[in-house]
Amino acid sequence: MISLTVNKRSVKVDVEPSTPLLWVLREHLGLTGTKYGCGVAQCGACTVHLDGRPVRSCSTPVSRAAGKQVTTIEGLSPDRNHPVQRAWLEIEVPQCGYCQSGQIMSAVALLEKTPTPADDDINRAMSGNICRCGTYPRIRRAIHRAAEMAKAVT
Amino acid sequence: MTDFPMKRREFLVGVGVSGLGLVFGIDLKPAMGAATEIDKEGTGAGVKLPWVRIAPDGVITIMAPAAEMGQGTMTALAIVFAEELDADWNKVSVEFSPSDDSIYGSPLSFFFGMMVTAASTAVMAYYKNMRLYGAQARRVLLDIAANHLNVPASELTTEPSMVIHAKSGQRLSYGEIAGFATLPTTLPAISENDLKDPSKFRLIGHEIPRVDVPGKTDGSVTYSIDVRLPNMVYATVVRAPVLGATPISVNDAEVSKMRDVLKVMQLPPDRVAVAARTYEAALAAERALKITWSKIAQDEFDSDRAMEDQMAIARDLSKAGVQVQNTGDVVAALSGAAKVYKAEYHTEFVYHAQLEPLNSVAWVKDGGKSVEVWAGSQTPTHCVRSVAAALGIAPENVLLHRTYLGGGFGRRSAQDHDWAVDSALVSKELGQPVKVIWSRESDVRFGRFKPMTAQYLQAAEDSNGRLIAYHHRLVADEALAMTDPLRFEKGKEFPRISATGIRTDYDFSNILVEAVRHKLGVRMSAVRGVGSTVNQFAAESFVDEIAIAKGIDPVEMRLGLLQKAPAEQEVLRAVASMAGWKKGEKAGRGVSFIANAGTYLGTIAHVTVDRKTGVIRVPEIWIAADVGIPVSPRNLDAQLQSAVIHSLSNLLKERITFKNGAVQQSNFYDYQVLRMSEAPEVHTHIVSSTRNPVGIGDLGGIGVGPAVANAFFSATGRRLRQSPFLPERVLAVLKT
Repeated sequence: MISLTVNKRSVKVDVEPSTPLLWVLREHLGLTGTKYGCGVAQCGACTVHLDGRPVRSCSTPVSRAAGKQVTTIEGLSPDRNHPVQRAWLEIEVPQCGYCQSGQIMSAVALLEKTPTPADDDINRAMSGNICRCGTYPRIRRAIHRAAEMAKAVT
Repeated sequence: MTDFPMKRREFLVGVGVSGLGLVFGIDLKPAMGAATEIDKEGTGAGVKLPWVRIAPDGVITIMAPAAEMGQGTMTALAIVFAEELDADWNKVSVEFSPSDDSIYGSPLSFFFGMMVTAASTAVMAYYKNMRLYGAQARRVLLDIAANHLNVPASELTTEPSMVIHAKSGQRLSYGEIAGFATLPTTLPAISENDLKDPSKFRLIGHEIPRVDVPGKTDGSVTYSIDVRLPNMVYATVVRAPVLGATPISVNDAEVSKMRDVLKVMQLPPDRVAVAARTYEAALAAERALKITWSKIAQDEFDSDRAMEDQMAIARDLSKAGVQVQNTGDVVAALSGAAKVYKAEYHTEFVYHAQLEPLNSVAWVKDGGKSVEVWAGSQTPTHCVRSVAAALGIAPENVLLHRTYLGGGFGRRSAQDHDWAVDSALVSKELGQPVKVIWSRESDVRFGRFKPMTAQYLQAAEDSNGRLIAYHHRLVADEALAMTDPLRFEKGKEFPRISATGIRTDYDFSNILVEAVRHKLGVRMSAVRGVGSTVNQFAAESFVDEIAIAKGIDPVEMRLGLLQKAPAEQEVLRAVASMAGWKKGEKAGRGVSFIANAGTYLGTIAHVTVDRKTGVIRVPEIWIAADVGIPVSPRNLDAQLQSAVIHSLSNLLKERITFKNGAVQQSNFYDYQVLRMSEAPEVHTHIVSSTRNPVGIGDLGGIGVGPAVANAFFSATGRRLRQSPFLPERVLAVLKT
């Protein structure tokens, strides 16, 4: 049994310690907002936060998450009210949508570290997340917009 | 179990409203205005499934016949319907329609009545009918209201979701009408004269938020990969790396003993499946599989060698192809020409790389007699038929739950639904629900690709410098032969996918465009932009080469060739204007113009080249488009950006190669796609139009390849003739 804190809830899962966190979240815990894209930390669709830092859950053994705070897209806000989600809605970023949980989690982590990111910061923080629909220009706009929204709140 | 026939019951159960309200089953197809059947609750056999439901609480549920894979059609078509129904958009919800060609089949002739979401056709295909269906539903509401208020229907008008009798000041909401409605036995006849004047549109052409976006910002929408069922187990399936090989031996005894593995099974003819209690166990087992495959002739296939073969065929004018366009006498014009231009281009295999790997969930029930399937399909009725055939049951006993698609790009459209049949077969073996997810490596290796092409072009000039002949020869295998043999056969083996977008709209007096099929024996598919991207890479690069040779500005020359096509000229002028194009421009910018199935695209790209590394950067792209009436302008902008970036990714980075019959790439580290840091700024402009809408999602990026190639020439004086434009190729042409 491995104990985790996922979206502020304590859970226990009966899996091998080497099991990727991704499958624990998706299939054992039913948090399917986090996506499988490549399994080798190349596409970013599986991005979640571990103690506030973005990690690729497909390549993170669940044992590494033991005792830490895991945050998934489902735990970001109860009502799509996080500034990044609001910006995503306003700019209407998603197309097929499959990569967007990972994009949003990467963007949230970026803004927590760099509240007013320049385009270069965005390139660095977001280039690990593939969007096959090519929503990059809208993601960029939405990150700038979320930065404004977050400031308006504080 | 007595779950079947289930379509109808599932539909009603799925409504989730008490009191059924109005349910319209409208089928105008046989003859416009003909009396048609109505779906009344419990009226039994022969009824049609509906396009819309209106509940007493006012909620209006409109059916989405097309797949939603990011292109926004789910919203766009509902907007069209709601416009004519005069619905309050805030009361509208949209739901995937059942899988039924007889009601929801695409009206386009080349889809042969089947439900197909492909090739930028959904809005164009359904636009007129969705308006008529919406108008008919509104008329029914008016008639019922007239009867209820005891006034002539002609005195009634509507406001959003409200019927109004101005004379008496009485108002009835659509929900109220739904609460007491008795439906007529036949539906009122509706013709195009009953439709709204487009100047009165309040939804079409306005900024309506897409209905699928909220659920895509909190992870709550359901793709088939997200479906979880009680007692569900997991499986992975591997296929022959070389198409046509079969398994000779499998280390199943060893793999079966692995933790949580339930069963290793061969699924004829060419698949091996591993089922396990968890997906991680299934993946681990897949990696432990050792399979010996039969030796076959296709083991010899090598894509580099095949490219040389194709190029030789392209140059060999004695090998005639299927004529796609033929006016005048090209051969005579060429032989009598003062000057002849010639050029060759080739393009490599391209992978879909849709981000949601292929997957499906199936639950075979009733001792194998029926099945429920969860899949995100571009051709749902193909999915139903294929699963039925694989299980040896009737299609009526397959209930397909249509989900969102985590990208389609053509991969989820094939007739055989290789990826959906997998879960049905494994579920049948195990007798319980199964989720099959292809690993990314399987998704690449057993992918189906946009075929490689070789292209040979000639043009002739008379002694006055007038272009008098144009000859374009395409050599490619035809993806439709594998992806949809039924349509390929019905279409008399016309190379519909490979030859897409190869026609020219330019005013050459003598034109011959032909396509030679060269069979390759590999897995193929329609891929976004189908033949258009590669054919126009060749055609619009060639036109630029001629302009440069003649010393004419490339925009000017194209405008000259479009003298008989003012609407097309307008699009080219629009993009030149927005990009600030100057005559004789030498700023590393290139242009292209595309006319494809009624969609006009002007594209200008700005390119910089790192001469040390050979890396091409594209900081900016300008694109002007005329797509007829823009149903959703904001989504149109999104689709143009998307198609441009997708196409640029194909052009700069992507290729699949084969050695010894097998795909050499396996994941995003060796099949790279465009990322944020490489994405251009894309400026879009929609040229206003009153034509009925045409397509964009698939097509919008077609002009990118030639615009970038032409910009590269402008920057370097060198011509790139083979896509993708890999750094080593760039360095090689810079040395010439």
